[in-house]
Amino acid sequence: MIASEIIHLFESAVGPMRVITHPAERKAFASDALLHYHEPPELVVFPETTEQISSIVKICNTHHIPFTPRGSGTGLSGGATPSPESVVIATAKMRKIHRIDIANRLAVVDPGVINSDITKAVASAGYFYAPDPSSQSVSTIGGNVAENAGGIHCFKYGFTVNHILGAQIVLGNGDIVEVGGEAMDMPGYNLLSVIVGSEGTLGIVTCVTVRLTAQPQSIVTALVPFASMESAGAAVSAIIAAGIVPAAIELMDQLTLQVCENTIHAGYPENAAAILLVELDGPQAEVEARIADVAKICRNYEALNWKIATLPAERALLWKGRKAAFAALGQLGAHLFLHDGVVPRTKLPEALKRLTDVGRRSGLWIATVLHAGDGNLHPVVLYNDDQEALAEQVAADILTMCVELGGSITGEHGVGLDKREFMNVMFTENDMAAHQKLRLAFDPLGISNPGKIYPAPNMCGEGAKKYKQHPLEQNGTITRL
Amino acid sequence: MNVNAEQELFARFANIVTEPSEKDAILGVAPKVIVSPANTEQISAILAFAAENNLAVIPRGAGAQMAIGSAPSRADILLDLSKMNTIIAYEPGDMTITAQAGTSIGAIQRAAAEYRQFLAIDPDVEESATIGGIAAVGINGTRRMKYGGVYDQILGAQFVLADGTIARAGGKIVKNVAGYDIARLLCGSLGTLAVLTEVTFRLQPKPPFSRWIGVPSPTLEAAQTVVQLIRQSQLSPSAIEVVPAADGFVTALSFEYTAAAIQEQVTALRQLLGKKYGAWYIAKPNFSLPKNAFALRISAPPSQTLPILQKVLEISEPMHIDWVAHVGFGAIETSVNAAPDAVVRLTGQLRPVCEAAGGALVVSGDGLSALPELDPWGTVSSAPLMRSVKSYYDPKSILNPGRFVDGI
Repeated sequence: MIASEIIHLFESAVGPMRVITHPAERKAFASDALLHYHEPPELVVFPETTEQISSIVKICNTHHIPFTPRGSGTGLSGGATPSPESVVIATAKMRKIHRIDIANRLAVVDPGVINSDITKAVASAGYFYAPDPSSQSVSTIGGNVAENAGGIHCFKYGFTVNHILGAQIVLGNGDIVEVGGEAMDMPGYNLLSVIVGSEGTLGIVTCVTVRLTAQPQSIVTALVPFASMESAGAAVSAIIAAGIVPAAIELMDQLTLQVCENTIHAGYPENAAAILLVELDGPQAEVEARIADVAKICRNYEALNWKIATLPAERALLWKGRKAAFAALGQLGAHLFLHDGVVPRTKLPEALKRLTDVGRRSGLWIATVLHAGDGNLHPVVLYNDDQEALAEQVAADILTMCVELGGSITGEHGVGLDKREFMNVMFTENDMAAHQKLRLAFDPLGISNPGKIYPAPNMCGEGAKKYKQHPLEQNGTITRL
Repeated sequence: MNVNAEQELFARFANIVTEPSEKDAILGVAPKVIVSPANTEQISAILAFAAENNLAVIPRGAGAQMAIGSAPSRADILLDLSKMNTIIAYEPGDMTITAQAGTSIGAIQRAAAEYRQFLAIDPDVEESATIGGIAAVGINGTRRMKYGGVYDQILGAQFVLADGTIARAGGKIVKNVAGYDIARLLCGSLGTLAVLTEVTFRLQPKPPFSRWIGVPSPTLEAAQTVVQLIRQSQLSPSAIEVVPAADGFVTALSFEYTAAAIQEQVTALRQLLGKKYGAWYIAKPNFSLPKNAFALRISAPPSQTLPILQKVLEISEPMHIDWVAHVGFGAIETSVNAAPDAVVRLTGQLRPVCEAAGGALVVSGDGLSALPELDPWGTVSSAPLMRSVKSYYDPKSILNPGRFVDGI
């Protein structure tokens, strides 16, 4: 419980209208998009300026109150699930694009700016903001920075970390620090590199300088059905071995593509065992030559068909199907557990085979989409209320398998609360202790989003509680949004 | 180092300790001993010993870039990593390579070339320069614009902390967000946080063709016009460089595509430039600068690069300087053959210009040994946070002490 006199301090820092104290309202902030975890915050504050955030954090620091930064709450690993007894600092009121500098290909934006709003603001000048997580129409740039968000086009364009030039950050003691800037390779430690992807544990990002990318001259998207996941996977390897760098190369299994097709009607052939979506972009002659190479390779791997889309509306429809995968699978009822493991690309065939085995052994349905180019698997495990333990066992099997094959437990969703107990599958105690020295340098008290990423026993409090359904929810009287 | 510590060092590491010679001095500061470990465990033991005895350790690869940073405030052990030069794993299908830190960039590029791949960094160093040294220094060449910096190529690393702890961060896959990206942090840290022992890099496929196009211009203003036209167009060069020519300047562009696409880009470029400027196929310009006593490196927002270069050329008159301007990503590298006091004056006049534009000016070179008072780095905005990071990773300041920004 936060004492009422401390609540008054927060209210005087941001104004009483910008502090949520009512239990019912606070409950709306108890989870991010990973609904397994549920922890209502003590307070939610909505600052409008960096200075206000600094004041809030200083109050937290003085009174040893943990805080959890929150953008739109679309994260998939519990990163924005409030730390126990914490204050949520929501950036929803910080949505200004401060400056667009086309000559230097950058924009300076508030942390609450929606990812796709940056692209909307610069599209007419011929530019875009490249990282494109599926949540991009609702997720904030601050959240993207915290999670080092990826997306379907990051195979060619890189991840959030490759597109952030500078940031302003409020540290755990309330100090405002500028890192990076408009010039590259400035002297000193590359602190920006570790702030991006730190899941809010090194402080809260309050202003971001993003890099803008010139729109390619030409874009082609190919939809290629295959008779098996194996042949589709082999085609991916062959395309990349040929020195082709697709803008995106995505693979979907039969269950996923059927569900997506039923929902979006993107034109996916429902009888295919797998489909590959390959996008090439660049100078027109380059795209024309390379798409012909891709077609030839796909034929060699017994593609069932070959369809290309060049018009923006056609291409958008093909991608709409893919981006709707997670939401569409949700209609199958039951619960979903979305995974984010990575394996080296050459180990994809083995990973897919072992994934099938895991599904068969457990009896659970696993629908799989993958960023095939970089070996990032998104198996979606479907389970019923009484199968939670089984689903957790399947999760452990999948993550362990990824690490055994030389990969990672997370490619773009972050560790959060969800996978912190698996960090020791990837890293030794010494490794993690070495990583966490960084945290001490940024936040010695450990009040910035504690309990995330590392299974640290010395951090204050316990993790968020696993979500338990309300009896009214169990009997179907109410449903969670 | 006291006599006891030195004797014990020779006793404990008998086979790998040697006496330094004059050429082993770091900007005029001579180390007491050289230790040449053959494996990570030996490095761990050496660092644990150094931490116990408060000995300063200076890591060195091939010694290609030792004149970057200030002279060390103290130097006991020169940690020579050149024996750690094994490529541990190269999986062409994954386009990743893992090698010990003392492996030369040449060896990496030769291994990758067998599969038409390459490591997309090209700093102006000899091919004997080690990947550990290149990562620690973090300087980039022309490939920075298309492929990103050194830290964009690093996927993971093994390193040894100042107390001898062996640790890893990142991984051996191209996509991974598990844990803090310490490997990226170590890039450009000049060995002041940990000693890199093993590095995993991503590789890139060789493009089908790579051609350079030169656009001559009589003045720097004209070159700026050319660069602006190109940057505002839909042309997609891999690099945009400006170099001096006999009768003015040349804007050099690289295109890395299929033959047809290169042809298409060059046609579009000629249309864009009109009759006023010619665009010709040229051999790759020599971007390597002669080694002089001093090198000045400037970072700036791309649009400010040529205006700052103009200032550099004006202020440095009548001194002769060699230079290359990486206008595609905003950097100028210069090599200056001048007396130390002239370099102090030049730095004093240019640094405020660079800092006012949001950039920086860094001085390096053997000549720094004559200028102990000159701060080669200039001021950095988040120095207190950097000092805090240093204090947790190397509390006794035994790794490259005094060589980095703000006296770190």
